[in-house]
Amino acid sequence: MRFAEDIRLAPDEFRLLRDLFNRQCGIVLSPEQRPVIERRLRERLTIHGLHSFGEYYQLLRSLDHGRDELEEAIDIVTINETYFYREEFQLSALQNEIIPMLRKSPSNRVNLSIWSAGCSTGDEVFSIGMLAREAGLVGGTDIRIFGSDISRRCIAHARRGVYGPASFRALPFYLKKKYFVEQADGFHVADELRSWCHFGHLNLLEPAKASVVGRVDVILCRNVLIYFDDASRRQVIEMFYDRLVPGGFLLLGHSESLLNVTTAFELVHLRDDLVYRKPLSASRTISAPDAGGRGTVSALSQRQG
Amino acid sequence: MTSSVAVVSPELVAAALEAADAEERRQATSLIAELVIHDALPLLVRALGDTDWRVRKEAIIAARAFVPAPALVSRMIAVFDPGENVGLRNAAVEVLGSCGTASTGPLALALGHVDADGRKLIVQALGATRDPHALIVLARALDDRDENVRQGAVEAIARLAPLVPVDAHKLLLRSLEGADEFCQLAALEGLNALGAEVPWEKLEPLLEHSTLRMAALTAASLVQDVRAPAALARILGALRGNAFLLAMTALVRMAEGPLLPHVAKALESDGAHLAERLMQIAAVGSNVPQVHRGHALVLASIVGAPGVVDAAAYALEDELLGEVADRALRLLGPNVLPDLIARIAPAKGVTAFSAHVRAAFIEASVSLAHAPCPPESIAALLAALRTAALEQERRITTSSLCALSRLGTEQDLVLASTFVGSTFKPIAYAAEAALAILTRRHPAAARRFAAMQTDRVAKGSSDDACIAVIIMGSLAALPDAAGQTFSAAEMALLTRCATAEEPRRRRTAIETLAVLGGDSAHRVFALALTDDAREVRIAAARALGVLGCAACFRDVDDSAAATSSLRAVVDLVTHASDTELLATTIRTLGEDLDPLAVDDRSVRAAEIMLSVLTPLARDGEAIVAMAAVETMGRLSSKTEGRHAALFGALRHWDDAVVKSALLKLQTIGAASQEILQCLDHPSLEVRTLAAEIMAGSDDADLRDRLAERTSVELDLNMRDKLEGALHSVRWRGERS
Repeated sequence: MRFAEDIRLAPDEFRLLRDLFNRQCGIVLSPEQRPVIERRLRERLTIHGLHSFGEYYQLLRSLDHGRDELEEAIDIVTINETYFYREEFQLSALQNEIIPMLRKSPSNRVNLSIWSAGCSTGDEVFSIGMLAREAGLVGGTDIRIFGSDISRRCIAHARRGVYGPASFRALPFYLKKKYFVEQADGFHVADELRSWCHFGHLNLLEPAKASVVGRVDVILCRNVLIYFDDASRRQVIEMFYDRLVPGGFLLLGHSESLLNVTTAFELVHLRDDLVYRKPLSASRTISAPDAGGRGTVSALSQRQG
Repeated sequence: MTSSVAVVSPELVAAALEAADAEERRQATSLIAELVIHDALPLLVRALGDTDWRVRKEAIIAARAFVPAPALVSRMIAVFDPGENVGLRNAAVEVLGSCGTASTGPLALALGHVDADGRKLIVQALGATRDPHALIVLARALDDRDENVRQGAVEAIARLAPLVPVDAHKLLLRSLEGADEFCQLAALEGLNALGAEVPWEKLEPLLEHSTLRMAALTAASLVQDVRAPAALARILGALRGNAFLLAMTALVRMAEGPLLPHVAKALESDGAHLAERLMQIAAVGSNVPQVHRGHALVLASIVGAPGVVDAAAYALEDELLGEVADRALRLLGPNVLPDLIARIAPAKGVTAFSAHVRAAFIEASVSLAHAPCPPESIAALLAALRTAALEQERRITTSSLCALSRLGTEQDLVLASTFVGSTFKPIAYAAEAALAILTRRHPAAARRFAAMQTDRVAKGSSDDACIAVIIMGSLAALPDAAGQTFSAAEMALLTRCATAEEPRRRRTAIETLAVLGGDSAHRVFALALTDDAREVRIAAARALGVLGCAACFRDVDDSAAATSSLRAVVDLVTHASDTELLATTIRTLGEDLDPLAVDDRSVRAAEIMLSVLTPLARDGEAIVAMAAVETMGRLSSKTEGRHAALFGALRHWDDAVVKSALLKLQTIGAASQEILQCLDHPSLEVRTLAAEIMAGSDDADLRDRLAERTSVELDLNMRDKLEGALHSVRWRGERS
């Protein structure tokens, strides 16, 4: 019998847990996060009647209960705060420059698909919904918005669509009034907006599962990959490349870059932002020289990886 | 994300490199790696000099296919001749860096034959080689007639510093003494990255230079000189923006060690104005990164700024600031107890703070109450804790129970017992733990309370036998337990509990029996291994671990008998065919051992355990092997063969076991040459961990071996990992 408060996460135990979480979902925990992880996971130990994090690691690796508990642990470890209209300049760029660019020649995209990868509690997804609605687009016809996250708890929160005051710190008041209904338990997303947005549980390190998203025009993955190690980041970016249509855009957080990750995306300078684009010619590749000896491009299949 | 064709010819790539579309050129570049080096080199040079950065970057990646061919090295060095484009030259530096030691000699030779721009690029490339031998060439370049070359040499030395810290440290300190501010800046940044302390007499004058101030303030955070806090405090008032934040960081770092009183004294003079400034930074919504908010909070505590308790409370709401906020509260000392008490159990029950924050207040108050403080403060705190424990909030209840177990009186036995039957496991476990600890602190009162409970159960006025059983277990565990005898009624209660319908009661009975022991205990535990409730099976596995450990100490003079008893326990749990149970038993063996115990009995008992654990750590199922490694780590440090047994676990087939053994070797300070083999382990995680342990080792030879390996490692991912490991460790000066 011991108190949860007395159970410490030793550095060696933390290292083992850290590697396990990293392998499962790509997230990298820094040594400074040890106290946070200790606090977040302690209750799991008491629920299972465990005496140490070593035993907890043992449980996570067990064949019987490990899988479910690992999902639970990752759910607890990966919770990150977000809010509506976070980094608004990027959402404005999406509304005012990217979407118009996609709808114009040579892309001529009519039914746009937007994927918010790592959407946490759904704030970003509904933000996109609001700005699309404000831009005069029609959900389901002009645009399809999908949000995914590794946390089932976050996805459940997003589906519920009820938010507290902290989520509204950057949202203009008129939008809050227009798209949310105040009730006793918080602000509920209006039904019209809710119907535009779909959510799913997805581990970005499982490319096969990600293929269910289909091809998309825009991927927003903001402040997610900063928690990943290099190898996982490359793997996810490769999957994004595969999911994007040629000419499709990838929006990362303002401090994130693909500089040492891949050369496959081109950098597009927008008015207030830099974004990445899968080149329009990305689906083509070099073929045999023509009669004049010049290399040409033709629509050959793409090699993965 | 590259494209393929059936046959790649130099002509095809050359033609595609002429395409107007950068994407086409990039794809063509990726194919260069598939050519033979003779055909590839001219194309590579062309792609490395492309106008588009994506093509150049792709060319650097493609060049890896030819690393470390001498032809590639000489072709890359050739681009340092005057006339080539800048993009190409910079890309060539990267390619030469990836060639490692193979580049050093040719680069050193070329140094005498190129112009100043070329020499600057050569010193950059030497820094990128990660070759410790390049340091000799770079040391000479510090005297180059061109200032850009000298600056480049300092930067390159800084880059090599984690590989050759002793020599690089000397060169960087030497570079601080020159008159060239840019060289000084590069040297300071290099020393900061290395984590090396700059002598205060060298550092203090640099704080005066606007170019060097920021780097000098960063360096100040590593200083352990008693003169430093006062000097920083003197300039603090005049600093603005990032300079102020860096000075604050330096003072906080100093305050983490023996300089705390000096920091407190130095800040006294600035008083109210500084306190106000710090509180503005520490406040919620202040426009600075959280780390600086935390630093401001710590300094605000040191100067006793008004409102710091509330600031700490709001910081506690933020997970990333939790630790620092807790530190700030503790720095305030016992005088802050009344403030905390008012927030733990607010007068009218209304509070602005979350349960998480109030729980943190409770934890901090316990720690502060252990320092000398007025009795009335303790009485008020106990009253607040008792009120809080009764709240319908699990965090508050569990934290209050924990606090009461440390500070509470006899009367709190009753309070704790009311939660033992809670249906919410964390509360029930906390109550059990509180009851057990309070029993140890107040045995006589607990004895009376247990007898009363037994009587109530016998008369049917209570059906919870657990309370008395928990107290019995705790009493039996007391050092003078020999005098503790239990009545027939109490023993009957224990038996009833062991066969109760409710798993919680069966588990409690097993836990108490594990302490009481006795002839029948072993059989009860064996049967409980088949219990349908997991918590009971785990308790039985733990109980058997306790018995196994006791046998080792009891029969320490007859090691054959002790080994046989322990083996019998391990065999019994093995027969339950549940590796989790076996792992639990093995972990329990070591749970109460003290690695620092070096008395003869402890050492001999440990050797008995080791004989049973060694084969399990080497060949057992992964979770069993990990448990064995864990327990080995807790055996007496004098246990003969312990290191060898842990080295044996390095050959286990499961990566996690190997990592576990590596970490244990690190923890017990036994990292030695044997872990070198792990740098060739198939698992990247194992290789990375081995590198990190070697980098952090006090064994200079081990670090040198790692540096040597880094310079010849051709797998760039691995090389980055090795170098990252060397970078990750703050250099602590020359170590023996």
